[in-house]
Amino acid sequence: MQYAEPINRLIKSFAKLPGIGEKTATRLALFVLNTNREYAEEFASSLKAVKDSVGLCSRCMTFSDVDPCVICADAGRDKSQVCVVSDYKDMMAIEAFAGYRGAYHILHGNLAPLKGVGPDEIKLKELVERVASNGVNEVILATGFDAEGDATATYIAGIIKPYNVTITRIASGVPVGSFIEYMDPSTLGRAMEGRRTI
Amino acid sequence: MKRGAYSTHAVVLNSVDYAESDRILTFFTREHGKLSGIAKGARRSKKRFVGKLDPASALKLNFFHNGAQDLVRIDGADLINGFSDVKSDIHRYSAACYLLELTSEMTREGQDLPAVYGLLSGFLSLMNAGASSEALMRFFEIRLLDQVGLLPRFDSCASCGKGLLESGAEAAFRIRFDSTRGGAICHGCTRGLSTHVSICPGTARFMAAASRYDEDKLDRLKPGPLFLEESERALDDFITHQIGKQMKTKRFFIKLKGTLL
Ligand SMILES: [Zn+2]
Ligand SMILES: [Zn+2]
Repeated sequence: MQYAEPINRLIKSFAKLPGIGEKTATRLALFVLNTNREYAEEFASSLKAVKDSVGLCSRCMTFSDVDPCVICADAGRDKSQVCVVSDYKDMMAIEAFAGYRGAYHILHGNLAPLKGVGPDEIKLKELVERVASNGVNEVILATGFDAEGDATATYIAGIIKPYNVTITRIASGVPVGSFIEYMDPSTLGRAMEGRRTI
Repeated sequence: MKRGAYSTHAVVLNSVDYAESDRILTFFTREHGKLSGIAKGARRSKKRFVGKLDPASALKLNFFHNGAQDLVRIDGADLINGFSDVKSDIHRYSAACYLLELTSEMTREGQDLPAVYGLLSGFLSLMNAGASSEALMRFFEIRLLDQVGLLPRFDSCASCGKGLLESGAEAAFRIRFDSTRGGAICHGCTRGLSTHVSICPGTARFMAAASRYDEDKLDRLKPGPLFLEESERALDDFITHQIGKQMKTKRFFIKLKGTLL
């Protein structure tokens, strides 16, 4: 016997989430069916709200419900320092270590030959425009230390070199091949302080 | 493969994130050909896999096969060579990725191809040492096609077998290379030939030589720009015909070249 069509649709939606297979998707859908109406409505409206009200900050490209985002709008932060990360989770990881007081740029990906992701498919043009429009003194490259992250960092360094800004790469204490989002705050803190010019 | 624990040398062909912190990997191994496996917790720092499972790394791999599922369980990995110079530059890294994707596309799991591991790790070493990526990609295509039994004809007709480079009047003619018919086609066999790539005899001779040269002497072949351009077109046409689609790394090359950045 088949699930009723609306249940099937919900299962399919859950199955599209990262790390969720058909089995887990079915379990989640049945959970929603068994739960009270308020929960389901709250869930549906959060899904809608996040797509309706959250966009990209026009300066740093982070997810935000205001433009510019709170970090870009914060007068206490040094906008001449831009920390480049591959994604939002990495920015949040660096923010969790409270020592950094500069701005960010979120690429939303890395250059990825094996996935066919080229330079125009990440927010690189926006970074170059930002650096070209003055006001930026230092670009801190905080992409991961896996092959894609490393190759992306070197590529960016090559592109922004003509703009005469200091280019640094976070370094010390970071094991080669590791991912920013999984680093503990103290390692990340040391990495940020120990960055070097490239 | 029987149920049990195994140890082998392997090159990482691809790696994709799975669930919270796992990765699903494809390898080309020395003893078991192409293989897929899951590495649990591979994306967390300070774990046994950090820095070892990047594409194009050569490792000593420990895995467990339960005898039923397609995915083996990766239990450990020791880096033999991370080819770190390749990874520090997007042009070289993407060329290395092309070798990986091509190996993955041209082989099947369970296929016994004992020479391919050495071929792949050997070419990654040459690339890491700074040899021309363009030439290496072409030589690799030729050698891999040979290993999987799909080497096209370069210097003799794929239809009638006639030698094409014997006349001596090299500059006077061009050779038609037809992927659907298995390579070079002589003048007498051109009836019904529709689309084809045209190459000069020097290119055909160079490709034939690249297929026969000792592997460890391949870096002595120094191809010129005409060879690189023509062989790229002919081999791309042939490989696209074989696998039936455009490869992702090929699309990446086009994007990298075409960007206004
Ligand atoms: Zn912002
Ligand atoms: Zn013929």
